[in-house]
Amino acid sequence: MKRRIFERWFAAPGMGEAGEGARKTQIRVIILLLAAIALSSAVLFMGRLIKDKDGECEWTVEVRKKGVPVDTYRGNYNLSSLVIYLDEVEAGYCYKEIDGREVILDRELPKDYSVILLTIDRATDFSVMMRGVYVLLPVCLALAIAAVIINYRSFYRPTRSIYVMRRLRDGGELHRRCLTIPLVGLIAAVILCVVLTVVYYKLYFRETMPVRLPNKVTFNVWRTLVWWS
Amino acid sequence: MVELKNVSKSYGGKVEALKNINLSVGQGEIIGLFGENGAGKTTLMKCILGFLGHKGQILLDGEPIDRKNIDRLSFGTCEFSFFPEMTAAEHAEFYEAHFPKFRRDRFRGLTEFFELPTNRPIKSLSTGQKSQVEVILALCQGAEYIFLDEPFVGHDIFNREDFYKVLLGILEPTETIILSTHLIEEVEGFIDRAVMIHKGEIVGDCSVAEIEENGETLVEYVKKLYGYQPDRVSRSLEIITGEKKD
Repeated sequence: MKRRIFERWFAAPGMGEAGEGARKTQIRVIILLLAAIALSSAVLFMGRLIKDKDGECEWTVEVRKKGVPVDTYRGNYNLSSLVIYLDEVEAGYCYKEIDGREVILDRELPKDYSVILLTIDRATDFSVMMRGVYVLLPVCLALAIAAVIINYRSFYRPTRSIYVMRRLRDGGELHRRCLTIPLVGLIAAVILCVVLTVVYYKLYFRETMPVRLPNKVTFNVWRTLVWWS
Repeated sequence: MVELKNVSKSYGGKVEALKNINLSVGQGEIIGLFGENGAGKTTLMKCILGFLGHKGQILLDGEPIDRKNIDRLSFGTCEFSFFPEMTAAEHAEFYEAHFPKFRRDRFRGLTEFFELPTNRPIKSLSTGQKSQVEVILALCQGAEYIFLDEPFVGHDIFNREDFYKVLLGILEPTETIILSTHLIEEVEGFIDRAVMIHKGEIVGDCSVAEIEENGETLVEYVKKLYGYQPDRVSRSLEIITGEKKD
């Protein structure tokens, strides 16, 4: 049963040993391409995410005592370095959003003191972070088209076995052999890209401080396919 | 019966390969299809088999030829239509799987007769052996109408003669052979009917018995139809060499 399902969904693109060899080669290429898509997109996206998260951004905070501004600090280091500008109070900080943009940083401050984040650079939009991460997908498409052409051509050279295939009652036999593996590979690549996009989207929101999120997080499919957009 | 009604075929809208062909092929006939190179023999066969688009109608027992009845036709060609990477035995398995009327016994008998190795890829066989495999597959498919397009490429004369005798011995009354060949003299004793194509048109369609009753041989009949000029060689030599030849 498994063999029959395999034969149906991965029909050898040719006959005999050459067909079996072509099948193995095409399946190997698909697996390699899928791995390459996953690896390259992960390296690109995660690299950009980490750089954005830990890289420089400009921020302005205001220190208030009993609600009255007493000092303003500007910095272009990452946010975690904020603590060095305040009293040597360790512990982390947490923030919440009020009035849309102002965020109060609560930490263990001396009594009556509070710190308000006035401005902060926005994080890179998700769409920009995803630029060109799936540049291998058009390569997959091109290879799938090439494989289809090669598969059909194998029935015209070196002999015209196409004359046999066109006399079969099952008209789908020829097309199944020529189209199945390239199509399965292409569909698998697209599904992989969709799954990876969901994962990267969740990571983006998990690793980006809400205060730094762009007003509108966007995603452009076409931008993921080309490097220069 | 295979019927062709006003069948025409042109390539690129310019080259008329077939012009209003009307032809009927009944069951049990052995038909020789003759014509000069480029006459349209192969095009005619390919149109019948549905490999080429064409104008006009081609019917098999009154029905258009499609996937439902295409297995009633088989085809052996000098271009070779076998799968070169497969062995003869693997071909038999493939044909058995896809053509329910495949004749396994006939296949075994013919491969033994020609002493063909059945477990070597066809691509490793000689040209003569390859054409033998091609013809055997066409004969064993289980088809009622067997189209053979110059099938004897690479066959030596002994194999050809033996092949005609074997064919006459194994063919059933319902099997029809349409054989395209240039070896007119050889097949004269084998075929029932001769169809001549010249420049895409049928110029002659006659039974071999009628030709013989007229006191002619098939070669003479064909030459007459084509308007063959016996002195064309001497005239050409005169032009080429400038010397008058007798």
